Amino acid sequence: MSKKLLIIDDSAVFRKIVSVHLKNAGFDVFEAIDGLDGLEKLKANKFDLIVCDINMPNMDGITFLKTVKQNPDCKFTPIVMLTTESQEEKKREGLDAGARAWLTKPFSPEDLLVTINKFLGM
Amino acid sequence: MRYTLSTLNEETGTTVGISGELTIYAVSELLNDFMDIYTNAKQIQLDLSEITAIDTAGAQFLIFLKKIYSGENSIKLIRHSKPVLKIFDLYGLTGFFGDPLSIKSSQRNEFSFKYGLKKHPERMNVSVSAQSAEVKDV
Repeated sequence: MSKKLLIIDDSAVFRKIVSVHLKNAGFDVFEAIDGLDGLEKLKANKFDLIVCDINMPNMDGITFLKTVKQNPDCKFTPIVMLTTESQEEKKREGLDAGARAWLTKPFSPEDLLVTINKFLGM
Repeated sequence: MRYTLSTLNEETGTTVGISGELTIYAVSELLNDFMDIYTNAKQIQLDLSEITAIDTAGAQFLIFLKKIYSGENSIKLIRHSKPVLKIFDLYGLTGFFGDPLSIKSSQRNEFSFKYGLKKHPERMNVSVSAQSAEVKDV
């Protein structure tokens, strides 16, 4: 059975590009347009891993991350941040809040897959 | 319309020109258009000489194409415009794409490629010429 992944990004372009790469790699991919939408998707599904942007309207990636980590149902779900944000301070904040990895855009599809597979034990 | 696509079918493959802005506003439509038109195209040469602006989404689009059109359906980036060279330089993408770059000697000092040129010109796959590479217009 395919592993179920959630992509959260307010950019339709990046959602589509990430989605195509991950579907081609055999994953079952769901999409959310911001942190709030991501929380809604989490109510209805259990995901094996989440790929999340940082700068988004309504709820940003760091707030989403902190909220998820307080939820006993999904606090152990690995979250990989995928963002244009490369400031060390922001990165530290994300990793301290529980992000498992931090990748910057533009990203290498191979790096994303290697990172995801590592956390999924594949 | 922020961009236009033009096609020249040659014996050696298909040359596709993108002109205009390769930014997040255009890439959304361009993704669908490109995949629809060139689904079965092989050995595509993507002419980037008329790209006037490019952002992170545009760079990601080119990375996406390079990955999708691999193996038999290869894609080669040619005639990089200055904005394209700038973003490749900024993100260090030259090695990822691996396609030859041509930089006018007058612009050489504007890019950090020059350090690679000095030390390992063969690895960087970058050449400096008085004029841009001559490629058939599309």
